[in-house]
Amino acid sequence: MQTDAQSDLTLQTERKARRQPVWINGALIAAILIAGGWLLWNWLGPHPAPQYGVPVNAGKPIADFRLNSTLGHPVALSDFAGRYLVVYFGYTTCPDICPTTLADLGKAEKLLGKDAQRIQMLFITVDPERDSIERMRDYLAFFGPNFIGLRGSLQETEAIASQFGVVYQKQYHSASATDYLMDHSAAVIVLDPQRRPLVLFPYGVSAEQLAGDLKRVMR
Amino acid sequence: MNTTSSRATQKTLDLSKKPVLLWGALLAVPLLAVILFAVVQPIKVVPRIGLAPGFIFTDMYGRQLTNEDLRGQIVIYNFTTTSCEAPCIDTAPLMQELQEFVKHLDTGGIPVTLVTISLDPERDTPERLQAYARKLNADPTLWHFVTGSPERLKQVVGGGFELYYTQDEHGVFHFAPMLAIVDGNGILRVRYKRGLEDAAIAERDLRLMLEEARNSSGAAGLVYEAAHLFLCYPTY
Repeated sequence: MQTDAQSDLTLQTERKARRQPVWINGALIAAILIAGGWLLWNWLGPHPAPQYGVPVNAGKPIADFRLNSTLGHPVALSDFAGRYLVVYFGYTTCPDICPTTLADLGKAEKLLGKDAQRIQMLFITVDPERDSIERMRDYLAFFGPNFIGLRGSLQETEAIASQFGVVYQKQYHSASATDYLMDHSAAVIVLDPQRRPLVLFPYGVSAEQLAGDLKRVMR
Repeated sequence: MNTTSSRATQKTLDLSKKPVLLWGALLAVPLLAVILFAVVQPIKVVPRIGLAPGFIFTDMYGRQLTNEDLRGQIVIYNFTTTSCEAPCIDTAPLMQELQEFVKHLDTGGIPVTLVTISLDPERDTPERLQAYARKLNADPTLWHFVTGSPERLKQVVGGGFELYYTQDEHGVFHFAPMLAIVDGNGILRVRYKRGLEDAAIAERDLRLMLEEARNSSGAAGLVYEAAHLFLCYPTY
Protein backbone atom coordinates (compact mmCIF):
# COMPACT_ATOMS: atom_id res chain seq x y z
CA MET A 1 0.00 0.00 0.00
CA GLN A 2 2.71 2.37 0.97
CA THR A 3 4.44 1.70 -2.27
CA ASP A 4 1.28 2.53 -4.19
CA ALA A 5 0.82 5.87 -2.43
CA GLN A 6 4.42 6.72 -3.10
CA SER A 7 4.17 5.87 -6.74
CA ASP A 8 0.95 7.94 -7.04
CA LEU A 9 2.77 10.92 -5.59
CA THR A 10 5.65 10.44 -7.96
CA LEU A 11 3.16 10.26 -10.85
CA GLN A 12 1.47 13.49 -9.88
CA THR A 13 4.79 15.25 -9.65
CA GLU A 14 5.78 13.83 -12.99
CA ARG A 15 2.51 14.99 -14.56
CA LYS A 16 2.95 18.48 -13.13
CA ALA A 17 6.43 18.63 -14.53
CA ARG A 18 5.21 17.44 -17.92
CA ARG A 19 2.07 19.56 -18.08
CA GLN A 20 3.63 22.46 -19.93
CA PRO A 21 5.30 20.53 -22.73
CA VAL A 22 2.12 18.47 -23.17
CA TRP A 23 0.09 21.62 -23.77
CA ILE A 24 2.68 23.05 -26.09
CA ASN A 25 2.69 19.79 -28.03
CA GLY A 26 -1.08 19.76 -27.99
CA ALA A 27 -1.30 23.30 -29.28
CA LEU A 28 1.15 22.42 -32.02
CA ILE A 29 -0.80 19.36 -33.03
CA ALA A 30 -4.03 21.34 -32.92
CA ALA A 31 -2.50 24.05 -35.11
CA ILE A 32 -1.30 21.43 -37.60
CA LEU A 33 -4.71 19.74 -37.58
CA ILE A 34 -6.53 23.01 -38.11
CA ALA A 35 -4.18 24.09 -40.90
CA GLY A 36 -4.35 20.63 -42.49
CA GLY A 37 -8.11 20.56 -42.19
CA TRP A 38 -8.38 24.00 -43.71
CA LEU A 39 -6.17 22.98 -46.64
CA LEU A 40 -8.14 19.74 -47.14
CA TRP A 41 -11.42 21.64 -47.01
CA ASN A 42 -10.15 24.12 -49.58
CA TRP A 43 -8.91 21.33 -51.76
CA LEU A 44 -11.78 18.87 -51.48
CA GLY A 45 -14.54 20.76 -49.75
CA PRO A 46 -17.42 22.45 -51.50
CA HIS A 47 -16.84 25.75 -53.23
CA PRO A 48 -18.32 28.44 -51.01
CA ALA A 49 -21.82 29.07 -52.26
CA PRO A 50 -22.14 32.28 -54.25
CA GLN A 51 -24.22 34.98 -52.61
CA TYR A 52 -25.88 36.45 -55.68
CA GLY A 53 -25.42 33.78 -58.33
CA VAL A 54 -26.95 30.33 -58.49
CA PRO A 55 -24.61 27.50 -57.41
CA VAL A 56 -24.36 24.86 -60.10
CA ASN A 57 -21.25 22.82 -59.24
CA ALA A 58 -22.13 20.39 -62.01
CA GLY A 59 -20.16 17.21 -62.56
CA LYS A 60 -20.51 17.17 -66.34
CA PRO A 61 -18.14 19.56 -68.13
CA ILE A 62 -19.04 21.59 -71.19
CA ALA A 63 -17.76 19.79 -74.29
CA ASP A 64 -14.76 21.60 -75.74
CA PHE A 65 -15.17 23.59 -78.97
CA ARG A 66 -13.03 25.79 -81.15
CA LEU A 67 -14.30 29.00 -82.75
CA ASN A 68 -12.89 31.99 -84.60
CA SER A 69 -12.01 34.74 -82.19
CA THR A 70 -11.26 38.41 -81.90
CA LEU A 71 -7.65 37.41 -81.18
CA GLY A 72 -7.34 36.81 -84.92
CA HIS A 73 -7.06 33.04 -84.66
CA PRO A 74 -9.40 30.24 -83.61
CA VAL A 75 -9.47 29.45 -79.90
CA ALA A 76 -10.79 26.47 -77.95
CA LEU A 77 -12.10 26.47 -74.39
CA SER A 78 -9.27 24.09 -73.51
CA ASP A 79 -6.74 26.80 -74.52
CA PHE A 80 -7.64 28.49 -71.24
CA ALA A 81 -6.90 25.46 -69.08
CA GLY A 82 -6.34 26.51 -65.50
CA ARG A 83 -8.58 29.56 -65.72
CA TYR A 84 -12.15 30.18 -64.72
CA LEU A 85 -14.23 31.06 -67.77
CA VAL A 86 -16.96 33.66 -67.60
CA VAL A 87 -19.17 33.07 -70.62
CA TYR A 88 -21.81 35.41 -71.99
CA PHE A 89 -23.94 35.02 -75.12
CA GLY A 90 -25.06 38.21 -76.88
CA TYR A 91 -24.72 40.26 -80.06
CA THR A 92 -23.21 43.61 -80.91
CA THR A 93 -26.42 45.37 -82.02
CA CYS A 94 -28.12 44.37 -78.78
CA PRO A 95 -29.83 47.50 -77.48
CA ASP A 96 -29.98 46.99 -73.73
CA ILE A 97 -29.18 43.76 -71.94
CA CYS A 98 -25.83 42.96 -73.58
CA PRO A 99 -24.12 46.33 -73.10
CA THR A 100 -25.30 46.50 -69.48
CA THR A 101 -24.07 42.99 -68.72
CA LEU A 102 -20.77 43.50 -70.55
CA ALA A 103 -20.20 46.80 -68.74
CA ASP A 104 -20.82 45.05 -65.41
CA LEU A 105 -18.47 42.22 -66.36
CA GLY A 106 -15.78 44.71 -67.39
CA LYS A 107 -16.17 46.57 -64.12
CA ALA A 108 -16.13 43.32 -62.15
CA GLU A 109 -12.86 42.37 -63.82
CA LYS A 110 -11.32 45.65 -62.64
CA LEU A 111 -12.67 45.11 -59.13
CA LEU A 112 -11.08 41.66 -59.02
CA GLY A 113 -7.62 43.19 -59.32
CA LYS A 114 -4.96 40.51 -59.27
CA ASP A 115 -7.55 37.71 -59.19
CA ALA A 116 -8.69 38.80 -62.66
CA GLN A 117 -5.68 36.93 -64.04
CA ARG A 118 -7.37 33.70 -63.03
CA ILE A 119 -10.44 34.33 -65.16
CA GLN A 120 -11.15 34.81 -68.85
CA MET A 121 -14.22 36.61 -70.10
CA LEU A 122 -15.71 35.13 -73.28
CA PHE A 123 -18.40 36.72 -75.42
CA ILE A 124 -20.07 34.36 -77.88
CA THR A 125 -22.19 36.02 -80.55
CA VAL A 126 -25.67 34.62 -81.16
CA ASP A 127 -25.87 36.68 -84.37
CA PRO A 128 -22.93 35.47 -86.47
CA GLU A 129 -24.66 36.67 -89.64
CA ARG A 130 -24.24 40.34 -88.72
CA ASP A 131 -21.42 40.15 -86.16
CA SER A 132 -18.09 40.00 -87.98
CA ILE A 133 -14.90 39.44 -86.01
CA GLU A 134 -13.87 43.09 -86.63
CA ARG A 135 -17.22 44.37 -85.47
CA MET A 136 -17.00 42.28 -82.29
CA ARG A 137 -13.45 43.49 -81.64
CA ASP A 138 -14.52 47.14 -81.89
CA TYR A 139 -17.56 46.50 -79.73
CA LEU A 140 -15.83 44.57 -76.96
CA ALA A 141 -13.08 47.20 -76.67
CA PHE A 142 -15.69 49.47 -75.05
CA PHE A 143 -16.07 47.15 -72.09
CA GLY A 144 -12.56 46.05 -71.23
CA PRO A 145 -9.25 45.00 -72.71
CA ASN A 146 -9.50 41.31 -71.87
CA PHE A 147 -12.75 40.24 -73.48
CA ILE A 148 -12.43 37.65 -76.20
CA GLY A 149 -15.23 37.45 -78.74
CA LEU A 150 -16.07 34.11 -80.35
CA ARG A 151 -17.97 33.55 -83.56
CA GLY A 152 -19.18 30.27 -85.02
CA SER A 153 -21.41 29.24 -87.90
CA LEU A 154 -25.18 29.26 -87.34
CA GLN A 155 -25.20 25.53 -86.59
CA GLU A 156 -22.14 25.64 -84.34
CA THR A 157 -23.58 28.55 -82.40
CA GLU A 158 -26.90 26.80 -81.84
CA ALA A 159 -25.25 23.60 -80.64
CA ILE A 160 -22.84 25.44 -78.34
CA ALA A 161 -25.52 27.72 -76.90
CA SER A 162 -27.75 24.72 -76.21
CA GLN A 163 -24.97 23.13 -74.14
CA PHE A 164 -25.05 26.18 -71.89
CA GLY A 165 -28.85 26.10 -71.69
CA VAL A 166 -28.93 29.24 -73.80
CA VAL A 167 -31.53 29.87 -76.50
CA TYR A 168 -32.05 32.76 -78.89
CA GLN A 169 -34.18 33.68 -81.88
CA LYS A 170 -34.70 36.54 -84.27
CA GLN A 171 -37.49 39.02 -83.67
CA TYR A 172 -38.22 40.90 -86.88
CA HIS A 173 -39.39 44.47 -86.70
CA SER A 174 -39.82 45.20 -90.39
CA ALA A 175 -39.81 43.43 -93.71
CA SER A 176 -36.05 43.91 -93.99
CA ALA A 177 -34.06 40.70 -93.54
CA THR A 178 -31.36 42.44 -91.51
CA ASP A 179 -33.65 44.48 -89.28
CA TYR A 180 -34.16 42.24 -86.31
CA LEU A 181 -33.40 41.91 -82.66
CA MET A 182 -32.20 38.72 -81.03
CA ASP A 183 -34.24 37.42 -78.17
CA HIS A 184 -31.72 35.50 -76.07
CA SER A 185 -31.03 34.00 -72.65
CA ALA A 186 -29.29 36.62 -70.55
CA ALA A 187 -27.46 34.54 -67.97
CA VAL A 188 -23.70 34.72 -67.36
CA ILE A 189 -22.21 31.26 -66.89
CA VAL A 190 -19.02 30.64 -64.93
CA LEU A 191 -17.04 27.48 -65.65
CA ASP A 192 -14.33 26.12 -63.37
CA PRO A 193 -10.87 25.31 -64.82
CA GLN A 194 -12.15 21.83 -65.71
CA ARG A 195 -14.95 23.46 -67.77
CA ARG A 196 -17.62 22.34 -65.30
CA PRO A 197 -20.44 24.83 -64.84
CA LEU A 198 -19.88 26.41 -61.43
CA VAL A 199 -22.20 29.40 -61.08
CA LEU A 200 -25.00 31.03 -63.06
CA PHE A 201 -25.62 34.74 -62.77
CA PRO A 202 -29.07 35.84 -63.79
CA TYR A 203 -29.45 39.20 -65.53
CA GLY A 204 -29.27 42.17 -63.21
CA VAL A 205 -26.43 41.16 -60.87
CA SER A 206 -24.22 44.22 -60.31
CA ALA A 207 -20.47 44.46 -61.00
CA GLU A 208 -19.71 44.48 -57.26
CA GLN A 209 -21.83 41.39 -56.71
CA LEU A 210 -20.24 39.62 -59.69
CA ALA A 211 -16.74 40.41 -58.44
CA GLY A 212 -17.59 39.39 -54.87
CA ASP A 213 -19.06 36.05 -55.91
CA LEU A 214 -16.22 35.31 -58.36
CA LYS A 215 -13.73 35.88 -55.55
CA ARG A 216 -15.69 33.57 -53.27
CA VAL A 217 -15.95 30.65 -55.66
CA MET A 218 -12.39 30.71 -57.03
CA ARG A 219 -9.82 28.70 -55.12
CA MET B 1 -5.46 -6.60 -5.10
CA ASN B 2 -2.13 -4.98 -5.13
CA THR B 3 -1.25 -6.26 -8.52
CA THR B 4 -4.55 -5.13 -10.07
CA SER B 5 -4.33 -1.60 -8.73
CA SER B 6 -0.76 -1.19 -9.87
CA ARG B 7 -1.77 -2.37 -13.34
CA ALA B 8 -4.46 0.28 -13.44
CA THR B 9 -1.91 2.90 -12.41
CA GLN B 10 0.35 1.66 -15.13
CA LYS B 11 -2.44 2.22 -17.68
CA THR B 12 -3.02 5.79 -16.51
CA LEU B 13 0.68 6.37 -16.77
CA ASP B 14 0.69 5.11 -20.36
CA LEU B 15 -2.17 7.45 -21.32
CA SER B 16 -0.48 10.43 -19.77
CA LYS B 17 2.65 9.59 -21.69
CA LYS B 18 0.73 9.61 -24.94
CA PRO B 19 -1.08 12.95 -25.34
CA VAL B 20 -1.28 11.99 -28.98
CA LEU B 21 -4.13 9.69 -28.00
CA LEU B 22 -6.04 12.62 -26.56
CA TRP B 23 -5.46 14.76 -29.63
CA GLY B 24 -6.21 11.80 -31.83
CA ALA B 25 -9.55 11.51 -30.10
CA LEU B 26 -10.12 15.22 -30.64
CA LEU B 27 -9.41 14.75 -34.33
CA ALA B 28 -11.55 11.64 -34.49
CA VAL B 29 -14.64 13.48 -33.25
CA PRO B 30 -14.97 15.92 -36.19
CA LEU B 31 -13.82 13.20 -38.58
CA LEU B 32 -16.51 10.87 -37.26
CA ALA B 33 -19.03 13.68 -37.57
CA VAL B 34 -18.08 14.15 -41.23
CA ILE B 35 -18.28 10.42 -41.90
CA LEU B 36 -21.62 10.24 -40.11
CA PHE B 37 -22.87 13.19 -42.19
CA ALA B 38 -21.72 11.41 -45.34
CA VAL B 39 -23.21 8.05 -44.37
CA VAL B 40 -26.44 9.08 -42.67
CA GLN B 41 -27.01 12.09 -44.96
CA PRO B 42 -29.29 14.04 -42.66
CA ILE B 43 -29.93 16.33 -45.61
CA LYS B 44 -30.60 14.45 -48.79
CA VAL B 45 -30.15 16.11 -52.14
CA VAL B 46 -30.59 15.17 -55.75
CA PRO B 47 -27.29 15.56 -57.65
CA ARG B 48 -26.60 18.32 -60.14
CA ILE B 49 -25.55 16.60 -63.33
CA GLY B 50 -25.00 19.57 -65.61
CA LEU B 51 -26.70 22.42 -67.43
CA ALA B 52 -29.88 21.24 -69.11
CA PRO B 53 -29.91 21.96 -72.85
CA GLY B 54 -31.48 25.09 -74.27
CA PHE B 55 -34.28 24.49 -76.77
CA ILE B 56 -37.06 26.06 -78.79
CA PHE B 57 -39.78 23.53 -79.61
CA THR B 58 -43.37 23.69 -80.87
CA ASP B 59 -46.18 22.48 -78.65
CA MET B 60 -49.46 20.76 -79.49
CA TYR B 61 -51.18 24.09 -80.14
CA GLY B 62 -48.46 25.17 -82.56
CA ARG B 63 -47.06 27.57 -79.98
CA GLN B 64 -43.41 27.87 -79.10
CA LEU B 65 -42.05 26.44 -75.89
CA THR B 66 -38.49 27.25 -74.81
CA ASN B 67 -36.42 26.20 -71.81
CA GLU B 68 -36.50 29.88 -70.77
CA ASP B 69 -40.31 29.70 -70.53
CA LEU B 70 -39.83 26.90 -67.99
CA ARG B 71 -37.25 28.69 -65.84
CA GLY B 72 -38.36 28.74 -62.21
CA GLN B 73 -40.26 25.48 -62.64
CA ILE B 74 -39.23 21.93 -61.87
CA VAL B 75 -39.73 20.06 -65.13
CA ILE B 76 -40.11 16.32 -65.68
CA TYR B 77 -39.28 15.26 -69.23
CA ASN B 78 -40.00 12.04 -71.07
CA PHE B 79 -38.96 11.21 -74.61
CA THR B 80 -41.13 9.12 -76.89
CA THR B 81 -43.30 9.05 -79.99
CA THR B 82 -47.09 8.91 -80.06
CA SER B 83 -46.82 5.60 -81.88
CA CYS B 84 -44.68 3.98 -79.19
CA GLU B 85 -45.93 0.41 -78.93
CA ALA B 86 -44.23 -2.79 -77.77
CA PRO B 87 -41.37 -3.52 -78.03
CA CYS B 88 -41.02 0.28 -77.57
CA ILE B 89 -41.21 0.84 -73.82
CA ASP B 90 -43.80 3.49 -73.13
CA THR B 91 -43.03 5.98 -70.36
CA ALA B 92 -46.45 7.67 -70.70
CA PRO B 93 -48.11 5.64 -67.87
CA LEU B 94 -45.35 6.80 -65.54
CA MET B 95 -45.90 10.41 -66.60
CA GLN B 96 -49.63 9.96 -65.95
CA GLU B 97 -48.85 8.71 -62.48
CA LEU B 98 -46.52 11.65 -61.87
CA GLN B 99 -49.17 14.08 -63.13
CA GLU B 100 -51.59 12.77 -60.50
CA PHE B 101 -48.87 12.96 -57.86
CA VAL B 102 -48.01 16.56 -58.76
CA LYS B 103 -51.68 17.58 -58.78
CA HIS B 104 -52.05 16.56 -55.14
CA LEU B 105 -48.62 17.69 -53.99
CA ASP B 106 -48.08 20.80 -51.88
CA THR B 107 -45.21 22.31 -53.86
CA GLY B 108 -45.02 25.43 -51.72
CA GLY B 109 -45.61 27.69 -54.70
CA ILE B 110 -42.92 26.13 -56.89
CA PRO B 111 -44.54 25.05 -60.15
CA VAL B 112 -43.91 21.50 -61.33
CA THR B 113 -44.45 20.85 -65.04
CA LEU B 114 -44.37 17.80 -67.29
CA VAL B 115 -43.00 17.88 -70.82
CA THR B 116 -43.22 15.08 -73.36
CA ILE B 117 -40.75 15.50 -76.20
CA SER B 118 -41.72 13.58 -79.34
CA LEU B 119 -38.79 12.26 -81.33
CA ASP B 120 -40.94 11.94 -84.44
CA PRO B 121 -41.81 15.41 -85.79
CA GLU B 122 -42.78 13.99 -89.17
CA ARG B 123 -45.76 12.04 -87.86
CA ASP B 124 -46.39 13.80 -84.56
CA THR B 125 -48.14 16.89 -85.85
CA PRO B 126 -49.78 19.27 -83.34
CA GLU B 127 -53.15 17.57 -84.02
CA ARG B 128 -51.73 14.16 -83.32
CA LEU B 129 -50.05 15.42 -80.15
CA GLN B 130 -53.40 16.86 -79.03
CA ALA B 131 -55.14 13.53 -79.58
CA TYR B 132 -52.32 11.80 -77.71
CA ALA B 133 -52.65 14.25 -74.81
CA ARG B 134 -56.41 13.62 -74.63
CA LYS B 135 -55.83 9.89 -74.62
CA LEU B 136 -53.51 10.28 -71.64
CA ASN B 137 -55.90 12.61 -69.79
CA ALA B 138 -53.16 15.20 -69.71
CA ASP B 139 -53.98 18.46 -67.98
CA PRO B 140 -52.86 21.11 -70.52
CA THR B 141 -51.91 23.51 -67.71
CA LEU B 142 -49.46 20.95 -66.28
CA TRP B 143 -48.28 18.85 -69.18
CA HIS B 144 -46.81 20.04 -72.50
CA PHE B 145 -46.32 17.95 -75.62
CA VAL B 146 -43.65 19.29 -77.93
CA THR B 147 -41.48 18.45 -80.89
CA GLY B 148 -39.06 20.20 -83.26
CA SER B 149 -36.93 19.72 -86.33
CA PRO B 150 -34.98 16.43 -86.49
CA GLU B 151 -31.65 18.30 -86.23
CA ARG B 152 -32.73 20.25 -83.18
CA LEU B 153 -34.15 17.12 -81.54
CA LYS B 154 -30.87 15.29 -82.07
CA GLN B 155 -28.98 18.17 -80.55
CA VAL B 156 -31.25 18.64 -77.54
CA VAL B 157 -32.31 15.05 -76.80
CA GLY B 158 -29.10 13.36 -77.94
CA GLY B 159 -26.51 16.01 -77.11
CA GLY B 160 -28.21 17.57 -74.12
CA PHE B 161 -30.17 14.84 -72.36
CA GLU B 162 -27.93 12.08 -73.71
CA LEU B 163 -30.75 9.91 -74.97
CA TYR B 164 -29.67 8.42 -78.27
CA TYR B 165 -32.17 7.08 -80.74
CA THR B 166 -32.33 5.72 -84.27
CA GLN B 167 -35.04 5.40 -86.87
CA ASP B 168 -35.20 2.23 -88.96
CA GLU B 169 -36.24 1.89 -92.61
CA HIS B 170 -39.90 1.50 -91.57
CA GLY B 171 -39.76 4.81 -89.75
CA VAL B 172 -39.90 3.15 -86.32
CA PHE B 173 -37.87 4.85 -83.58
CA HIS B 174 -35.60 2.78 -81.37
CA PHE B 175 -34.49 4.17 -78.05
CA ALA B 176 -34.05 3.22 -74.43
CA PRO B 177 -36.80 4.73 -72.27
CA MET B 178 -35.75 7.63 -70.08
CA LEU B 179 -37.15 10.28 -67.76
CA ALA B 180 -35.26 13.41 -66.74
CA ILE B 181 -35.86 16.13 -64.16
CA VAL B 182 -34.56 19.69 -64.54
CA ASP B 183 -34.72 22.22 -61.72
CA GLY B 184 -35.88 25.83 -61.79
CA ASN B 185 -32.38 27.08 -62.54
CA GLY B 186 -32.11 24.97 -65.66
CA ILE B 187 -29.85 22.36 -64.06
CA LEU B 188 -30.29 18.73 -65.07
CA ARG B 189 -30.73 16.87 -61.79
CA VAL B 190 -31.62 13.31 -62.56
CA ARG B 191 -32.04 10.86 -65.42
CA TYR B 192 -33.92 7.61 -64.91
CA LYS B 193 -33.05 4.84 -67.30
CA ARG B 194 -34.09 1.94 -65.09
CA GLY B 195 -36.86 1.23 -62.62
CA LEU B 196 -39.25 3.11 -64.87
CA GLU B 197 -42.20 0.92 -63.87
CA ASP B 198 -42.39 2.60 -60.49
CA ALA B 199 -42.98 6.32 -59.89
CA ALA B 200 -41.90 6.14 -56.24
CA ILE B 201 -38.25 7.10 -56.89
CA ALA B 202 -39.15 10.05 -59.07
CA GLU B 203 -41.70 11.14 -56.46
CA ARG B 204 -39.10 10.97 -53.69
CA ASP B 205 -36.61 12.98 -55.78
CA LEU B 206 -39.25 15.59 -56.60
CA ARG B 207 -39.98 16.03 -52.90
CA LEU B 208 -36.25 16.40 -52.16
CA MET B 209 -35.81 18.98 -54.91
CA LEU B 210 -38.78 20.99 -53.66
CA GLU B 211 -37.42 20.85 -50.14
CA GLU B 212 -34.00 22.05 -51.31
CA ALA B 213 -35.52 24.84 -53.40
CA ARG B 214 -37.45 26.04 -50.34
CA ASN B 215 -34.72 25.70 -47.72
CA SER B 216 -31.31 26.19 -49.28
CA SER B 217 -31.11 29.96 -48.99
CA GLY B 218 -28.76 31.77 -46.62
CA ALA B 219 -26.58 29.83 -44.20
CA ALA B 220 -28.43 26.58 -44.92
CA GLY B 221 -27.06 26.87 -48.45
CA LEU B 222 -23.61 25.78 -47.27
CA VAL B 223 -25.05 22.71 -45.55
CA TYR B 224 -26.82 21.84 -48.80
CA GLU B 225 -23.56 22.38 -50.69
CA ALA B 226 -21.84 19.99 -48.26
CA ALA B 227 -24.64 17.48 -48.80
CA HIS B 228 -23.97 17.74 -52.54
CA LEU B 229 -20.29 17.10 -51.93
CA PHE B 230 -20.83 13.93 -49.94
CA LEU B 231 -23.40 12.58 -52.32
CA CYS B 232 -22.16 9.57 -54.24
CA TYR B 233 -23.00 9.97 -57.88
CA PRO B 234 -21.06 9.42 -61.05
CA THR B 235 -19.00 12.36 -62.19
CA TYR B 236 -18.57 12.73 -65.92
